[in-house]
Amino acid sequence: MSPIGKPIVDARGINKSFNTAHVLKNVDLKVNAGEVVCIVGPSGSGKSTFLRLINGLEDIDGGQIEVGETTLPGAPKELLSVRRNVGMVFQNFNLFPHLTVLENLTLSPRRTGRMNRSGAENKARELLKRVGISEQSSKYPSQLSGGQQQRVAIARALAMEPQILLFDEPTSALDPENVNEVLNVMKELASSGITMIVVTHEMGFAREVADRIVFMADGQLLVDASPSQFFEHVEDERLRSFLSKIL
Amino acid sequence: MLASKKALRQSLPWSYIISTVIALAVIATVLNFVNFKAIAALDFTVVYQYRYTFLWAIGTTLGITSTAIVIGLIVGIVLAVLIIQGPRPVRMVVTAYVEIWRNTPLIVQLFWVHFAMPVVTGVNTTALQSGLIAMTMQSAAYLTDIARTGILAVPKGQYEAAEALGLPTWSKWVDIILPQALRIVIPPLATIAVGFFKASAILSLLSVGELMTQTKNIATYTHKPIEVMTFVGLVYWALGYSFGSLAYKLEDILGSDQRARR
Amino acid sequence: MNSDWSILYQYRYEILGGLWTTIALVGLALVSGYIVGALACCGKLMRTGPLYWLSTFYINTFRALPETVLVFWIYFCGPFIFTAAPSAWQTGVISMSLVAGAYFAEIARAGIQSVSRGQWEAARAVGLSEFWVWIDVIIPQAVRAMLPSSALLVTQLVKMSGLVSAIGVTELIYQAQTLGSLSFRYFEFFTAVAVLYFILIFPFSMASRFIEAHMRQQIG
Repeated sequence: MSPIGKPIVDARGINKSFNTAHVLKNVDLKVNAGEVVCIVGPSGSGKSTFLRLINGLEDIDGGQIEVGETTLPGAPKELLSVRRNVGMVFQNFNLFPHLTVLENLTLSPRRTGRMNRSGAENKARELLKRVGISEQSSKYPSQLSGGQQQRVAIARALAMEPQILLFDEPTSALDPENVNEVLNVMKELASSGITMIVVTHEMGFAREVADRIVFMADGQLLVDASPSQFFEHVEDERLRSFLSKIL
Repeated sequence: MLASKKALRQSLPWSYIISTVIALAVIATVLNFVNFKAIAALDFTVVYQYRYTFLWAIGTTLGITSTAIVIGLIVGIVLAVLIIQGPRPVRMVVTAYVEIWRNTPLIVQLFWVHFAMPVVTGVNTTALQSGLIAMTMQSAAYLTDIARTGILAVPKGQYEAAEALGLPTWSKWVDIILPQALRIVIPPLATIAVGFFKASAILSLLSVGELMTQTKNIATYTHKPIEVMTFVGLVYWALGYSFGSLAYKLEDILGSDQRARR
Repeated sequence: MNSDWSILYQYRYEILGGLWTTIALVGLALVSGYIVGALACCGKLMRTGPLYWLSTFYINTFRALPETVLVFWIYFCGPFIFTAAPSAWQTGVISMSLVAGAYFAEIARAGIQSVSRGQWEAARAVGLSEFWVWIDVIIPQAVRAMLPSSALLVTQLVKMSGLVSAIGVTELIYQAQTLGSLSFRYFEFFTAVAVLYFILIFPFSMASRFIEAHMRQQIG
């Protein structure tokens, strides 16, 4: 399924502490280009922190992550190039409230000199159509529903044409009736061949879409398996108790 | 934010160099203008010499401030109830009063009360009386607004419960609504109180006889403005600061009291 | 009580001159206050180092001291303690600018800190450099959050401007006092001046309340 060769994300021996709390303990994870990897686990297990290390929103305390051609931790220039290669979708959308939907999408491509204004706008319109909200391009985020905002956020992450997309619990802040519209967009993206790392509680989505599911607890990566193995051959005690609670 | 600050610091050490240079340049510019001979000749014994005058003046300032706040609070609560429950013409008059006194400077009010009001009333007031009247009228205006906010912050259910119990209007306000509103109002009230303590120095423009008036008198009389005014600046700062901390304490005590009752 | 309002017309140029001086004082204080305040805010945001300590000292001192004390301190002590003796007008502008700067520094800091952590992260995550994170995302939102308290700062400065009449700056109150003592028409002059101050101050405090209510509505 995934092309053989160098993994596009290669995290080795990752450690991270906040003050006295040791939230990541020697985590290793390789993700190949085109793979969809879902990270699940109880809250506080360090999965969101791990995701945020991949595009440098938090500093790595120990170990290193290779993202594409670049290695973190690195100089500010390298950090920027990683961020431009990695799109991120947040739990709380974090759209820029003072910009219209279209401006949210065109800001980065224009500022980084990747595209001119008309090019960036054409690309943005195309992406909005892809996530199904082409009519809302001149509205402000506060005028949209949660599901629509999250779809804009996905389009914004795609606007820089990244190789990798990170999702940090993208449906946790949504009303139940809006969850599916976002998951459908994510499914469509997964089938398009882009590399995705998704922190989620949606086990149905993980089972259907993921190439691999990773289970984290207490800052450790405990299980890394294909969906069928993950759900049917549960050997880890903590995973069993987690699944019995969540399913 | 913390991590980003750390990253910023690592990425931009020159911003710290620049900031240090700016800080040193500012300090150097100020020091360049300082006459060090004058500083060497400073003689703070003048403060001790006039200690009783200062103490009396501090007492006057505190007295004026607390009188203005206490009377202002009582008037303010009454006016707030009138704004909420009074008939329309009364509401309009009270609102006009509040807006006029909140949106003009205290100095103008002070001079107006002292020079212009006697023309209307025919009664001349002393400087101290004018100062007290102006401060009280302004504090009443500010505290009306604060009391109104506090009263409106009491949940509607409390009003309904008081009415359901068949309490008379008087008891509903005194026993149920105002005690709760008072708790909500303590932090802004403390801010206003410190503000009025600071503002009381304005009364010296009419030579009311409070701390700043006496400061000017002593500074002029002794020809030692630096010693006298720097000392008084410290006094204002220290008193204002301790009021502020006292208010925090009070808020804490009231807060825990409320929690205990639950 | 007999009042003679025609005297206001008779002395209209003096009154308008005073009004202009008041507006000029406030305008100058605002402009230089913004510059000083922005610098002090940067210092405060550094969280450590000489500029942070200097800014903290400056902001705390000038916010805590009564404005009257400041004006008199600079005017009376300035000539002794400094080799340059500022005029009354300069003292007025300097003291008001320093007060405006101290308050504006706190307003700006509160505005910047009101921008949520998520906005910083999102701006960085889409690949903006630190410079554009500030220009495109943080500052526009911070400025919006600062509007109500900035409008209140204007009202505060207009109110403070009356103080410098005490050191002989010929602004509105000075004029009212002088004309009042000349003609014994205190009632007319001080009422007129009070009305003028109200006209200067009221729009700003209304704007502050309006913007704040508007923003609360948008959030809620």
